[in-house]
Formats: sequence, C-alpha cells, structure tokens
Amino acid sequence: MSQPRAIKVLVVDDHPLVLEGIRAVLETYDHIEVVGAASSARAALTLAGRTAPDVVMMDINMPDLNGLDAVELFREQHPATRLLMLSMHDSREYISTSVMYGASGYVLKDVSTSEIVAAIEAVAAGGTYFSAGVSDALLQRGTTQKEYRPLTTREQAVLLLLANGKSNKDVARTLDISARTVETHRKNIKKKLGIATTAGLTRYAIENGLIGQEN
Amino acid sequence: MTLRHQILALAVLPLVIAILAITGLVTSQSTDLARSGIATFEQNMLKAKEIELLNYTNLALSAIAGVYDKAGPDDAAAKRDVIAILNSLSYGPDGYFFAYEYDGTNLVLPPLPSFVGGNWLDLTDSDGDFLIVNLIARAREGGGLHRYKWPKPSTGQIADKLSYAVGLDKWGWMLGTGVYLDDVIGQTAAANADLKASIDRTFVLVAMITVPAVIGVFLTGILLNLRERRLADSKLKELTQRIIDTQEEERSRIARELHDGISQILVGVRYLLDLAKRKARDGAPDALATIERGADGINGAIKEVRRISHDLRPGMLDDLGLTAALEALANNFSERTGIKVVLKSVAFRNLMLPEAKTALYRVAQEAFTNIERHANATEVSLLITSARSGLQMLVSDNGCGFGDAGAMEEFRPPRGLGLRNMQERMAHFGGQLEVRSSPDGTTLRARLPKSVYLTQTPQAVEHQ
Repeated sequence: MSQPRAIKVLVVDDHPLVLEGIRAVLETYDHIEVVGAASSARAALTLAGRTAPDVVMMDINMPDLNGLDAVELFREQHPATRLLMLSMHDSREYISTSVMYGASGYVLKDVSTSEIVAAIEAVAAGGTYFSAGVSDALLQRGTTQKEYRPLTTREQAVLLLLANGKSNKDVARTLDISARTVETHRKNIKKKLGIATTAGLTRYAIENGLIGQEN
Repeated sequence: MTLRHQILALAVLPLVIAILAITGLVTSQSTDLARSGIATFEQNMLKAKEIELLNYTNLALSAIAGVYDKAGPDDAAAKRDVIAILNSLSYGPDGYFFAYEYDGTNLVLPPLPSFVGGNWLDLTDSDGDFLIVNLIARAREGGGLHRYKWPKPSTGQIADKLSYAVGLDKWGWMLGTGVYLDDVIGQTAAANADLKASIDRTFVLVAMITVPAVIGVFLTGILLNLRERRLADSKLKELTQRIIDTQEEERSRIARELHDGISQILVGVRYLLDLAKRKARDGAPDALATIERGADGINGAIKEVRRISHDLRPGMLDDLGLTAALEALANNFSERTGIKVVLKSVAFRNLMLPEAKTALYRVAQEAFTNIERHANATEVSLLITSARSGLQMLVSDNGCGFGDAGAMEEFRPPRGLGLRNMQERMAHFGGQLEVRSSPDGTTLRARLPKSVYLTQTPQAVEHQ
C-alpha cells in the first residue's frame, strides 16, 4: 500500500475487453487501487458492499440494469461512493441525465488514460469531472427550449406508488429505501411537476395514463 | 380448397339450397292441392253418374211397372212384354238396359243380341271380375252399384262401366243399366297431365331463374376476387420494391461509410503503428509521438462508429427514453438549421413499447427533415402529451405550409410518400398520423392508443 491512501475504484462494464483494459491501465498507477471489476450493475452493487470503493466507474449502456438507474441505487445504498460515468456517448442528454441521476463525473471511453485518472482523482476529492468533449457539449447551451423537467426512474417509481395510495412507509418498504429518502423523492417530484398535494399527484398519474385500468 | 373458394361456396350453396327448398315446397303443395281438386272432381262426376243411373233405372222400372205389378210369378206373356219394353228403352248412343235371370241367363242385352238365352254366370271381365255374379248379388240386396269393364257399343272398345242393378224378385230377375266412365277417366287424366305439365313448367322457370343467379354470384365473386388480388399484388409489389430500394440505399450508404471512413482511418493507424514499431526498434526518440498519433486515429474511428451507429438507431431511445432522444434530435436540428425548437414533454419515461417509441421518434425525425427542406420556418414546437386514451405528439412549424394546392384546414391523412411511411408506422400500432397545413404553418399530429403503453409498476419502470 502506498502513501497517502490509494483511491479505491470499482470498474463496471459489460464488455470484458474494455473492463480488462481499463483495469490493467489503472493498476499501473500507484495511487489507484482497483478493488473490483463487475460486468453488471447488480453485481457491482453487491461488490460495493464488500469493498467500499471511493469511486465507481460505470458504463451507461448495460443489459439488465442500465448505468443511470444503477447510479440512483448507488446513491441510496452507498451514499459515500462517488460515481463516474464511462460512456461511448457524447450527447448532452446523456451527460445532463447522468448529473440529474447523481453522477459526479462523465468521461468518454475514447479519452486518454491520463484523463481517466484525472477524472477519478477529481471525483474522489469531492469534485466533479467532465471530459473535454463533454464539457463543450454541456457548455454549449441547448438551442432547444425545454419546457419539462424529467423525473428520475426512482422518482417515477415513487410517484406510481404514491398515486396508488401508498404511504411513505409503504413506499419505503416496497423500494427497500428509508422513509427519509422517500420524503426527499416526494418533495422533488412535487417540485418538478409543480404539484402541491398527494391527491394532485394521483390525479396527474391518472390523467397521464400512468395508472388506471380503463383503456 | 382455398379460403376464397370456401367463401364463394358459402355464398352459392345457401342460395341453391334455399331455391330448391322453396321450389320443392311450392311444388308439393300445389300438387297436393291439384290432386285433391282432381279427386273431388272425379268423385263429383261419379256421384252425378250414380244419380243419373238411379234416374234411368227408376224410369225403366216405371216403364215396366204397368205390366210387372199386375203379372203373376210365372206369367210368360207379361215377361215377354217386359223384355220387349226393356229392349226398346235406350238413351244416348251407349245407354241401354239389360236383364238376367238370377241364375245368370241373359234376357235382355240390346247391343249384343247373341247373348240372349245364354247363361253368363261365369263371365269375367278383363280384370277377372265375375261381373254377372256381382250384379245379381247387388240386385238381390235390393239394388246397388257395380263397376267393371265392358265393350262400349259406340266405339267397340273395352271401357270402365258403372252399372246399377235392381231385382225383380217376383220373377227372379236382375234388371240393370250402366254408364261408361271413360269420359270421366279421360278428363281426370287430362287434369293430371295438366298438373304434371304445370309442375314441369314451374321447374323450368325456377331453373331459368336459379342458374343465372348462381352463375351471376359465382362470376361476381370471381371478378371481385381477381380484382382484389390484382390490387393487392400490385400494392405488395410496390411496397416490396420500396423496401428493397430503401434497404439497398441504406446498405450502400453504410458500406460507403465503413469503407471510405473507418476502413481508411484504420489503414492509416496500421501504417502509423508500423512506423512506431520501426522507430522503437531503432531507438528513435519520437516513437511515442507516432503511437500517440495512432491512438488519435483510433479515437477518430471510434467517433465515426458512434456516429454511424447513432444514425442507424439512436441508443438514447433505450437508455434515456423518447423525450431525451427527441431533445437530442431537436438540439441537432436547431444547431444545424438555426431554427428554434420548443420542446414540451411528459416528465416520465418508459411509458411505451420500445417499438412504438422508435416509430414515434422516426415520425419526429421525418417531420424535422420536411421542415428543414420545405417549410422555411423559424420556429418549431414539439409537444408530447399523455392521456388516459393514449399518447399524442404534435410537431408544428410557422413555415409556409404546403402551398395553396396542399392547404388543409383540418387534420387529414398525409399524401406524400415519406409521411405515408410514417402513417404506416403509426397504423401498425393502431395509431394515426394526420397533417394540417395553412400558409401560417404546418402541424403534424401523431397519435398512439393506450394499447402501446406498458403496465406501469415500480418494478417495470426500474427494469427498463
């Protein structure tokens, strides 16, 4: 072990070649310790429980559970862990969505190894990092005037449960999260949708065809 | 037997069966009616003949009464007189009286004088009937009718004859007279023949109606069939050709991009790596820089692949959902064209079947392409709303519309090929695509029914 303490990194990618490549490169750096490599987000969640990584570096596009939804789960289950997205996509929408879901950084897969290391360092230190191409995309304000605020996957799940008449406690039990987290989600949902009451949330869900059996 | 033939058979068979059944019913009823009519007619005729016979017999009896009543049982003179009277009595060409003794000896038979004096008790007619025996029996019973065959004097032909016989018991005589029934039988037969002819006529008539009707139905069916098939065939051909054309175009485009783009980049990288290898072997100091250039080349190739793959299918649709993919599309569009886009959408995602999502995305893509090419617009609005009935997407621009020729105040199904393709995409999911156009701009409306919605459960949302 080196001084000071090495940054513990968990790498998640469903492509074995990429996973191995990144791992091999990172292991050449003394101040970075690869504590695990997982080929799926679910495996990574389990592995994170054992290895307590400082940074999880994760692909977005994965089968079963995609990287963005996994970010939310990581935020809930391992709030101390910082998330760095590693992606092939350089579109603004990917990046902004990643930020919305709680990622601290976003690097493209085709950047140099040193940039990846810089990203890991920045994120581990509590900052954010976006690779050069990505920052351009972020800075270049969308010319599109966007008149909606998308919910995250978790928020949508909470909305559905609340609209179905579930209490905070029920929601917490169903989703295996704390009641506090549910309350946070509820507040965020109300803010995003501009709805003040729970009854309003139910009406919103029915009117938008999210719930209700009738076709 | 194909389905078409089955349908045709189903159309023709009931027709034929119905016609046959109706014909059969009508025929059997009219036959019954006619038969009973003929029977009644025959009976009436016979009744009239009977009454006639009775009258004749009474006439004869009263003619001989003067002699017979006064005569004794063995009064030979009286008997002679009565025979003379009976021989002289006649009516019509075939009306005469006959008399026999109860033992069968003939006494009077004007048409056949040779019979007189002979015993004819054993005489039978052509049917084997002992007619004299039977007539005598009727006479002894007090008078009655008997029917048998006997030569008709006027024609000499054997004919049916109905006779009435009464007894002159005092003398042991049977007295009778008969009428020939051939006229009755002839008339009945004629009526029967008429009936048969009328039935035959009915059948011919029915056949004349049925056969053309069946042929008509058949031919119409075949014609419709042919027309429909030809139409379907040509439509299918057109569609197939369109698919093949599009596919070929797409393939050659991808092939070109792979060959001219990525392949060339990779070849370049290969040369660079070759060079770097030689430099490294020779210990040249700039080997590293060459490898760096090679890595840059590979990054270029990665970017190129990303672009091609995105063009083929936007992965964002699956990763981030329709709204995000449309936002990217809108951003691309407005950066390229300088046209402002306002995007308003729903806050949630994973609402629809992935295929429906793709279809809607393609519709928006086509709409943007059309606006860029034709509309001359400065602002576009993309509005997605979800309701209990389904999802709606409106793409409106403030451009010039379709021009006078294409102005449409109301939403109508589109006419252009590109939009028609989009319409087919929507129709596949039970949705619709309509266009409204005016000089102030064009609005395209795509609608998908609730059936494309996924069941919304927290689990389903998270597993998408």
